[in-house]
Amino acid sequence: MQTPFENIPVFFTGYNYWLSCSMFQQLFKSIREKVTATPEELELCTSFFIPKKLRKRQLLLQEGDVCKYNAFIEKGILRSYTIDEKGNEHIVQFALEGWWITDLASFLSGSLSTYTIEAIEDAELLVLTPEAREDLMERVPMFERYQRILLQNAYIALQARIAASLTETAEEKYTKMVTVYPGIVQRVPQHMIASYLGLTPETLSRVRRQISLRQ
Amino acid sequence: MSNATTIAIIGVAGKREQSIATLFAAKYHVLLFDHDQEILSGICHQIRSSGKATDVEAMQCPADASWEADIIILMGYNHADESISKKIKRVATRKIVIVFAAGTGGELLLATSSAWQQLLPYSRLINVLDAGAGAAGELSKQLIMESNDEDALKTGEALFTSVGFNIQTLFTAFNH
Repeated sequence: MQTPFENIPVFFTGYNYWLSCSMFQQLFKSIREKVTATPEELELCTSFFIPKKLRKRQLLLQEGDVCKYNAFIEKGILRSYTIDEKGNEHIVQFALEGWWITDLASFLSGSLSTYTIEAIEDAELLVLTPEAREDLMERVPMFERYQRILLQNAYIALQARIAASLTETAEEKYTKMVTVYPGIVQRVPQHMIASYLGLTPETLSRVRRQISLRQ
Repeated sequence: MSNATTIAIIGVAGKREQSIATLFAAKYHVLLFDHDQEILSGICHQIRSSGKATDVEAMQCPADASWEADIIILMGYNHADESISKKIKRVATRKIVIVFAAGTGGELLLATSSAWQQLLPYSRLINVLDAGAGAAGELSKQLIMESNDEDALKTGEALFTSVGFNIQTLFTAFNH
Protein backbone atom coordinates (compact mmCIF):
# COMPACT_ATOMS: atom_id res chain seq x y z
CA MET A 1 0.00 0.00 0.00
CA GLN A 2 1.45 3.30 -0.98
CA THR A 3 0.62 6.56 0.69
CA PRO A 4 2.03 9.95 -0.16
CA PHE A 5 3.22 10.65 3.35
CA GLU A 6 6.55 8.86 3.25
CA ASN A 7 8.11 11.42 0.96
CA ILE A 8 6.31 14.51 2.13
CA PRO A 9 8.75 17.19 3.20
CA VAL A 10 8.37 18.62 6.65
CA PHE A 11 7.06 22.15 6.55
CA PHE A 12 8.01 24.05 9.64
CA THR A 13 5.22 26.55 9.60
CA GLY A 14 6.35 28.05 12.83
CA TYR A 15 6.08 26.48 16.24
CA ASN A 16 4.13 29.48 17.51
CA TYR A 17 1.36 28.69 15.06
CA TRP A 18 0.90 25.22 16.49
CA LEU A 19 1.28 26.46 20.04
CA SER A 20 -1.61 28.82 19.51
CA CYS A 21 -3.71 25.99 18.11
CA SER A 22 -5.82 24.82 21.00
CA MET A 23 -6.20 21.57 19.09
CA PHE A 24 -2.84 20.28 20.39
CA GLN A 25 -2.48 21.93 23.78
CA GLN A 26 -3.38 18.91 25.91
CA LEU A 27 -1.28 16.57 23.75
CA PHE A 28 1.82 18.78 24.03
CA LYS A 29 1.27 19.05 27.78
CA SER A 30 0.92 15.28 28.11
CA ILE A 31 4.07 14.63 26.11
CA ARG A 32 6.13 17.18 28.03
CA GLU A 33 5.00 15.71 31.36
CA LYS A 34 6.64 12.43 30.44
CA VAL A 35 9.52 13.08 28.05
CA THR A 36 11.76 15.86 26.87
CA ALA A 37 10.50 17.18 23.54
CA THR A 38 11.80 19.97 21.36
CA PRO A 39 9.42 22.38 19.61
CA GLU A 40 10.40 20.84 16.28
CA GLU A 41 9.56 17.34 17.51
CA LEU A 42 6.17 18.47 18.79
CA GLU A 43 5.37 20.16 15.51
CA LEU A 44 6.41 17.08 13.56
CA CYS A 45 3.94 15.00 15.58
CA THR A 46 0.96 17.14 14.63
CA SER A 47 0.78 16.01 11.01
CA PHE A 48 0.26 12.39 12.05
CA PHE A 49 -2.95 12.96 13.98
CA ILE A 50 -6.48 13.09 12.58
CA PRO A 51 -8.53 15.82 14.30
CA LYS A 52 -11.97 14.38 15.06
CA LYS A 53 -14.98 15.86 16.77
CA LEU A 54 -17.58 13.62 18.34
CA ARG A 55 -20.95 14.65 19.62
CA LYS A 56 -22.40 13.30 22.85
CA ARG A 57 -23.36 9.65 22.40
CA GLN A 58 -21.51 9.28 19.09
CA LEU A 59 -19.30 6.24 18.84
CA LEU A 60 -15.59 6.11 18.19
CA LEU A 61 -15.71 2.31 18.11
CA GLN A 62 -18.55 -0.18 17.85
CA GLU A 63 -18.28 -3.67 19.29
CA GLY A 64 -17.63 -6.10 16.45
CA ASP A 65 -15.64 -3.63 14.34
CA VAL A 66 -11.87 -3.49 14.08
CA CYS A 67 -10.51 -0.66 16.21
CA LYS A 68 -8.70 1.65 13.83
CA TYR A 69 -8.12 4.60 16.16
CA ASN A 70 -6.01 5.30 19.20
CA ALA A 71 -7.57 8.51 20.45
CA PHE A 72 -6.10 11.29 22.56
CA ILE A 73 -8.68 13.49 24.23
CA GLU A 74 -8.24 17.24 23.95
CA LYS A 75 -11.73 17.96 25.23
CA GLY A 76 -14.61 15.90 26.62
CA ILE A 77 -15.06 12.48 28.19
CA LEU A 78 -15.36 9.08 26.57
CA ARG A 79 -16.18 5.66 28.00
CA SER A 80 -15.26 2.19 26.91
CA TYR A 81 -17.71 -0.58 27.72
CA THR A 82 -18.67 -4.12 26.93
CA ILE A 83 -22.06 -5.79 27.05
CA ASP A 84 -22.55 -9.21 28.61
CA GLU A 85 -24.84 -12.02 27.50
CA LYS A 86 -27.68 -10.64 29.59
CA GLY A 87 -27.39 -7.24 27.94
CA ASN A 88 -25.80 -5.50 30.93
CA GLU A 89 -23.20 -2.83 30.28
CA HIS A 90 -19.83 -3.03 32.01
CA ILE A 91 -17.73 0.10 31.77
CA VAL A 92 -14.03 -0.71 31.75
CA GLN A 93 -12.58 2.75 31.28
CA PHE A 94 -13.33 6.44 31.33
CA ALA A 95 -11.03 8.89 29.58
CA LEU A 96 -11.03 12.64 29.91
CA GLU A 97 -8.85 15.52 28.73
CA GLY A 98 -5.22 14.46 28.48
CA TRP A 99 -5.98 10.74 28.40
CA TRP A 100 -5.79 8.12 25.65
CA ILE A 101 -8.47 5.59 24.83
CA THR A 102 -8.59 2.63 22.47
CA ASP A 103 -9.10 -1.12 22.36
CA LEU A 104 -5.42 -1.91 22.24
CA ALA A 105 -5.76 -5.58 21.33
CA SER A 106 -7.97 -4.80 18.35
CA PHE A 107 -5.94 -1.72 17.39
CA LEU A 108 -2.64 -3.58 17.32
CA SER A 109 -3.79 -6.95 15.95
CA GLY A 110 -6.67 -6.03 13.68
CA SER A 111 -9.01 -8.40 15.51
CA LEU A 112 -12.66 -7.60 16.09
CA SER A 113 -13.27 -5.48 19.15
CA THR A 114 -15.35 -6.57 22.09
CA TYR A 115 -15.70 -2.98 23.27
CA THR A 116 -17.72 0.06 22.37
CA ILE A 117 -16.23 3.52 22.86
CA GLU A 118 -18.74 6.34 23.22
CA ALA A 119 -18.58 10.08 23.88
CA ILE A 120 -20.28 11.02 27.17
CA GLU A 121 -19.90 14.71 26.30
CA ASP A 122 -19.15 16.51 23.04
CA ALA A 123 -15.50 15.72 22.46
CA GLU A 124 -12.50 16.87 20.49
CA LEU A 125 -10.02 14.12 19.75
CA LEU A 126 -6.69 13.62 18.05
CA VAL A 127 -6.59 10.12 16.65
CA LEU A 128 -3.83 7.92 15.33
CA THR A 129 -4.30 5.02 12.96
CA PRO A 130 -2.01 2.00 13.47
CA GLU A 131 0.04 2.96 10.42
CA ALA A 132 0.37 6.60 11.45
CA ARG A 133 1.39 5.57 14.98
CA GLU A 134 4.15 3.29 13.69
CA ASP A 135 5.29 5.92 11.24
CA LEU A 136 5.31 8.60 13.95
CA MET A 137 7.31 6.46 16.38
CA GLU A 138 9.86 5.74 13.67
CA ARG A 139 10.24 9.34 12.58
CA VAL A 140 10.06 10.87 16.05
CA PRO A 141 11.79 8.55 18.56
CA MET A 142 10.71 10.83 21.39
CA PHE A 143 7.13 9.76 20.71
CA GLU A 144 8.02 6.09 21.05
CA ARG A 145 9.51 6.82 24.49
CA TYR A 146 6.32 8.68 25.37
CA GLN A 147 4.16 5.72 24.28
CA ARG A 148 6.33 3.28 26.25
CA ILE A 149 5.95 5.32 29.42
CA LEU A 150 2.18 5.54 28.88
CA LEU A 151 1.91 1.77 28.47
CA GLN A 152 4.07 1.17 31.57
CA ASN A 153 1.84 3.45 33.61
CA ALA A 154 -1.30 1.89 32.17
CA TYR A 155 -0.13 -1.60 33.09
CA ILE A 156 0.70 -0.51 36.65
CA ALA A 157 -2.73 1.12 36.96
CA LEU A 158 -4.40 -2.01 35.58
CA GLN A 159 -2.71 -4.23 38.16
CA ALA A 160 -3.78 -1.86 40.91
CA ARG A 161 -7.36 -1.84 39.64
CA ILE A 162 -7.51 -5.64 39.53
CA ALA A 163 -6.21 -5.86 43.09
CA ALA A 164 -8.63 -3.20 44.28
CA SER A 165 -11.60 -4.87 42.64
CA LEU A 166 -10.78 -8.07 44.50
CA THR A 167 -10.04 -6.60 47.91
CA GLU A 168 -11.76 -3.24 48.43
CA THR A 169 -15.21 -2.65 49.83
CA ALA A 170 -17.80 -0.70 47.87
CA GLU A 171 -17.20 2.35 50.04
CA GLU A 172 -13.43 2.14 49.62
CA LYS A 173 -13.80 1.88 45.84
CA TYR A 174 -16.04 4.92 45.66
CA THR A 175 -13.98 6.99 48.08
CA LYS A 176 -10.83 6.28 46.11
CA MET A 177 -12.54 7.26 42.88
CA VAL A 178 -13.72 10.57 44.33
CA THR A 179 -10.25 11.29 45.66
CA VAL A 180 -8.20 10.26 42.65
CA TYR A 181 -10.62 11.14 39.82
CA PRO A 182 -12.93 13.92 41.07
CA GLY A 183 -13.30 15.23 37.51
CA ILE A 184 -14.87 11.99 36.37
CA VAL A 185 -17.23 11.72 39.34
CA GLN A 186 -18.48 15.27 38.76
CA ARG A 187 -19.12 14.89 35.05
CA VAL A 188 -20.28 11.31 34.60
CA PRO A 189 -23.80 10.05 35.45
CA GLN A 190 -23.98 8.03 38.66
CA HIS A 191 -25.18 4.84 37.03
CA MET A 192 -22.05 4.86 34.87
CA ILE A 193 -19.84 5.33 37.94
CA ALA A 194 -21.62 2.36 39.51
CA SER A 195 -21.01 0.23 36.42
CA TYR A 196 -17.32 1.13 36.39
CA LEU A 197 -16.95 0.23 40.07
CA GLY A 198 -18.81 -3.04 39.61
CA LEU A 199 -21.68 -1.90 41.82
CA THR A 200 -25.38 -1.67 41.27
CA PRO A 201 -26.77 1.89 41.18
CA GLU A 202 -28.66 1.10 44.40
CA THR A 203 -25.48 0.04 46.19
CA LEU A 204 -23.70 3.17 45.05
CA SER A 205 -26.57 5.35 46.27
CA ARG A 206 -26.41 3.61 49.65
CA VAL A 207 -22.64 4.13 49.85
CA ARG A 208 -22.96 7.81 49.00
CA ARG A 209 -25.70 8.20 51.61
CA GLN A 210 -23.55 6.56 54.28
CA ILE A 211 -20.59 8.78 53.43
CA SER A 212 -22.67 11.96 53.53
CA LEU A 213 -24.27 11.00 56.88
CA ARG A 214 -20.84 10.53 58.37
CA GLN A 215 -19.63 13.97 57.24
CA MET B 1 -17.61 1.47 4.64
CA SER B 2 -19.41 1.81 7.94
CA ASN B 3 -22.81 3.49 7.94
CA ALA B 4 -21.57 5.37 10.98
CA THR B 5 -19.19 7.23 8.64
CA THR B 6 -19.71 10.99 8.73
CA ILE B 7 -19.35 12.80 5.42
CA ALA B 8 -19.02 16.56 5.04
CA ILE B 9 -20.14 17.94 1.69
CA ILE B 10 -18.87 21.46 1.21
CA GLY B 11 -20.58 23.33 -1.62
CA VAL B 12 -24.13 22.27 -2.52
CA ALA B 13 -25.31 25.13 -4.70
CA GLY B 14 -25.57 23.31 -8.02
CA LYS B 15 -27.75 20.49 -9.33
CA ARG B 16 -25.01 17.90 -9.32
CA GLU B 17 -23.90 18.87 -5.81
CA GLN B 18 -27.47 18.46 -4.59
CA SER B 19 -27.73 15.06 -6.30
CA ILE B 20 -24.61 13.90 -4.47
CA ALA B 21 -25.90 15.22 -1.14
CA THR B 22 -29.24 13.45 -1.60
CA LEU B 23 -27.63 10.13 -2.48
CA PHE B 24 -25.26 10.15 0.47
CA ALA B 25 -27.83 11.37 3.00
CA ALA B 26 -29.86 8.21 2.35
CA LYS B 27 -26.99 6.05 3.55
CA TYR B 28 -24.58 8.06 5.72
CA HIS B 29 -24.50 10.76 8.34
CA VAL B 30 -24.07 13.86 6.16
CA LEU B 31 -23.12 17.39 7.15
CA LEU B 32 -23.75 20.02 4.48
CA PHE B 33 -22.28 23.47 4.09
CA ASP B 34 -22.71 26.19 1.55
CA HIS B 35 -21.90 29.91 1.65
CA ASP B 36 -25.50 30.55 0.62
CA GLN B 37 -27.47 29.68 3.73
CA GLU B 38 -30.77 29.93 1.87
CA ILE B 39 -29.71 27.31 -0.65
CA LEU B 40 -28.35 25.19 2.18
CA SER B 41 -31.63 25.28 4.13
CA GLY B 42 -33.53 24.56 0.94
CA ILE B 43 -31.54 21.47 0.04
CA CYS B 44 -31.75 20.13 3.60
CA HIS B 45 -35.50 20.62 3.62
CA GLN B 46 -35.77 18.94 0.22
CA ILE B 47 -33.75 15.94 1.36
CA ARG B 48 -35.71 15.54 4.59
CA SER B 49 -39.01 15.80 2.67
CA SER B 50 -38.02 13.08 0.23
CA GLY B 51 -39.70 10.42 2.35
CA LYS B 52 -36.59 8.26 2.56
CA ALA B 53 -34.67 7.72 5.78
CA THR B 54 -32.06 10.44 5.79
CA ASP B 55 -29.45 11.76 8.16
CA VAL B 56 -28.55 15.25 7.04
CA GLU B 57 -27.66 18.43 8.86
CA ALA B 58 -26.91 21.98 7.73
CA MET B 59 -23.70 23.34 9.22
CA GLN B 60 -22.85 26.98 9.79
CA CYS B 61 -19.13 26.53 9.24
CA PRO B 62 -17.10 24.41 6.80
CA ALA B 63 -14.39 23.91 9.41
CA ASP B 64 -16.85 22.46 11.93
CA ALA B 65 -18.34 20.18 9.29
CA SER B 66 -14.88 19.00 8.25
CA TRP B 67 -13.78 18.55 11.86
CA GLU B 68 -16.65 16.15 12.56
CA ALA B 69 -16.33 14.37 9.25
CA ASP B 70 -14.40 11.23 8.46
CA ILE B 71 -14.46 12.08 4.74
CA ILE B 72 -14.77 15.52 3.15
CA ILE B 73 -16.21 16.17 -0.30
CA LEU B 74 -15.47 19.55 -1.89
CA MET B 75 -17.67 20.56 -4.78
CA GLY B 76 -17.85 23.66 -6.92
CA TYR B 77 -14.49 25.10 -5.85
CA ASN B 78 -11.85 26.24 -8.26
CA HIS B 79 -8.38 24.97 -7.32
CA ALA B 80 -7.16 28.55 -7.43
CA ASP B 81 -9.60 29.43 -4.66
CA GLU B 82 -7.61 29.16 -1.45
CA SER B 83 -10.36 30.43 0.82
CA ILE B 84 -11.97 27.07 1.50
CA SER B 85 -8.69 25.20 1.93
CA LYS B 86 -7.53 27.75 4.52
CA LYS B 87 -10.71 27.16 6.51
CA ILE B 88 -10.56 23.37 6.57
CA LYS B 89 -6.81 22.71 6.37
CA ARG B 90 -6.08 22.17 10.06
CA VAL B 91 -9.06 19.85 10.59
CA ALA B 92 -8.55 17.91 7.36
CA THR B 93 -5.15 16.44 8.32
CA ARG B 94 -4.92 12.77 7.30
CA LYS B 95 -8.55 12.77 6.19
CA ILE B 96 -9.72 11.76 2.76
CA VAL B 97 -10.72 14.87 0.82
CA ILE B 98 -12.58 14.19 -2.41
CA VAL B 99 -12.48 17.12 -4.83
CA PHE B 100 -14.77 17.35 -7.81
CA ALA B 101 -12.84 19.00 -10.62
CA ALA B 102 -14.52 21.81 -12.46
CA GLY B 103 -14.51 21.08 -16.19
CA THR B 104 -13.14 18.08 -18.05
CA GLY B 105 -9.91 16.67 -19.38
CA GLY B 106 -7.19 14.48 -17.95
CA GLU B 107 -4.59 17.23 -18.01
CA LEU B 108 -6.89 19.52 -16.08
CA LEU B 109 -7.43 16.71 -13.55
CA LEU B 110 -3.74 16.31 -12.85
CA ALA B 111 -3.09 20.04 -12.75
CA THR B 112 -5.96 20.44 -10.33
CA SER B 113 -4.65 17.55 -8.22
CA SER B 114 -1.28 19.21 -7.86
CA ALA B 115 -2.81 22.53 -6.88
CA TRP B 116 -5.11 21.02 -4.25
CA GLN B 117 -2.31 18.93 -2.76
CA GLN B 118 -0.30 22.08 -2.20
CA LEU B 119 -3.25 23.72 -0.48
CA LEU B 120 -3.98 20.64 1.67
CA PRO B 121 -0.56 19.01 2.03
CA TYR B 122 -1.52 16.66 4.87
CA SER B 123 -4.83 15.47 3.46
CA ARG B 124 -5.35 12.35 1.39
CA LEU B 125 -6.67 13.76 -1.83
CA ILE B 126 -8.87 12.12 -4.40
CA ASN B 127 -9.72 14.09 -7.51
CA VAL B 128 -12.90 13.30 -9.37
CA LEU B 129 -13.94 13.93 -12.93
CA ASP B 130 -17.41 13.36 -14.30
CA ALA B 131 -16.79 10.95 -17.15
CA GLY B 132 -20.38 10.55 -18.34
CA ALA B 133 -22.56 12.67 -20.56
CA GLY B 134 -25.19 13.79 -18.07
CA ALA B 135 -27.62 16.61 -18.80
CA ALA B 136 -26.13 20.06 -18.39
CA GLY B 137 -25.31 20.74 -14.76
CA GLU B 138 -26.30 17.25 -13.69
CA LEU B 139 -24.09 14.45 -12.50
CA SER B 140 -23.74 11.29 -14.50
CA LYS B 141 -23.14 7.96 -12.81
CA GLN B 142 -19.72 7.55 -14.41
CA LEU B 143 -16.84 9.02 -12.48
CA ILE B 144 -13.06 8.93 -12.78
CA MET B 145 -11.18 9.05 -9.49
CA GLU B 146 -7.50 9.91 -9.35
CA SER B 147 -5.16 9.85 -6.39
CA ASN B 148 -1.57 9.09 -5.38
CA ASP B 149 -2.90 7.34 -2.26
CA GLU B 150 -3.95 3.78 -3.08
CA ASP B 151 -5.76 3.16 0.16
CA ALA B 152 -7.71 6.42 -0.10
CA LEU B 153 -8.62 5.56 -3.68
CA LYS B 154 -10.08 2.21 -2.59
CA THR B 155 -12.08 3.92 0.15
CA GLY B 156 -13.37 6.59 -2.22
CA GLU B 157 -14.33 4.00 -4.80
CA ALA B 158 -16.21 1.95 -2.20
CA LEU B 159 -17.98 5.07 -0.93
CA PHE B 160 -19.31 6.18 -4.30
CA THR B 161 -20.05 2.65 -5.47
CA SER B 162 -22.22 2.20 -2.39
CA VAL B 163 -24.55 4.96 -3.60
CA GLY B 164 -24.78 3.73 -7.18
CA PHE B 165 -21.87 5.22 -9.12
CA ASN B 166 -19.61 3.44 -11.60
CA ILE B 167 -16.04 4.33 -10.79
CA GLN B 168 -12.89 4.17 -12.84
CA THR B 169 -9.82 4.65 -10.71
CA LEU B 170 -6.50 6.15 -11.70
CA PHE B 171 -3.59 5.67 -9.32
CA THR B 172 -0.84 8.16 -10.00
CA ALA B 173 2.26 6.89 -8.26
CA PHE B 174 4.04 10.20 -7.84
CA ASN B 175 3.74 13.20 -5.54
CA HIS B 176 1.72 15.94 -7.12
